[in-house]
Amino acid sequence: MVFVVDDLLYTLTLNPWIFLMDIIHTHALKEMYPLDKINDAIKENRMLYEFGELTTKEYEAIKINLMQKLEMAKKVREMNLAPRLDILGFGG
Amino acid sequence: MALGEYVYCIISSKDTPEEFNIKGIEGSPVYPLKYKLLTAIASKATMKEYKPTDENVEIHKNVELEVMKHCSVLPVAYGMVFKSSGIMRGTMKKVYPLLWRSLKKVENKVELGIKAVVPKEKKELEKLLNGKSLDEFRKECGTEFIGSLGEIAVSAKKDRLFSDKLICNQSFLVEKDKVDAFTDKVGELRNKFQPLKIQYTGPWPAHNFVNIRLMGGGR
Repeated sequence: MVFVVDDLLYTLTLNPWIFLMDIIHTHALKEMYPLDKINDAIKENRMLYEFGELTTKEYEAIKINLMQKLEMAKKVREMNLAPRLDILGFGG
Repeated sequence: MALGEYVYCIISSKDTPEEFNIKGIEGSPVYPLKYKLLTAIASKATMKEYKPTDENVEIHKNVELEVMKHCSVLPVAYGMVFKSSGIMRGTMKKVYPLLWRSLKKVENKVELGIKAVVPKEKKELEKLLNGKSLDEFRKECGTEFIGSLGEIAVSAKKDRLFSDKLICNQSFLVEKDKVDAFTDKVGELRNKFQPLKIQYTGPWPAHNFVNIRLMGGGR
């Protein structure tokens, strides 16, 4: 993810660094918890278990980890940044 | 929390078994909800969003498979729950022609699935690739599978390769009386592409060939 600081600063007129950090933080979280990739990993885990390449214990451990990531990914997507910007008049 | 109607699948009313002895989501008994020539197979369930846990998905699948023993099944996507049987019938009324056409499309047919993954052992993988790149092999193998199995099937579909280990992921809609011929062909492909690991699954309701998402109040 590339952040074009000049463009973002151009659109933000009030306390730009606070909002910029907020945007960067949200994008960073989305990159850390990519929903599609997590869903694919859940399917892959199940598939490898069905093919007999993972033991039940291995499968369950990976599944727990992935389900936690999935929950986090969903929460990150629920962080709706646009309305916050709109309230402050930056939404365009 | 209020109880609603969780729907598993739709069948023809004339094929509806006299009694069901199946437990659905939350252990509730499964029963038919008739509307004209179609019948929804449902059970009482809490009005909420149903997460696709292994346990719940297994229950949904088992109900469909049990009903499939008696008749052709029009599968409904996982997690569809309606506030009442009246709302359920109202929804069926709105999309009745579409449901009827879709049921006719899958009548006397089943879905069969093929997944192939690369072997774990490096030596086996090298033997399998025989100097080709993984992408070249994937293309060759995928084309041969869908070509030869597609000749027997009514319809074939390439599904997404959600893992780097997958060589092919395909679904086929097959007439019930051609399942044996299809199985024989899978055996031939299995021999030809050894040591490729092939998973042949089914018969399933035709989830990949009809996409019925009746919108209930649970989501």
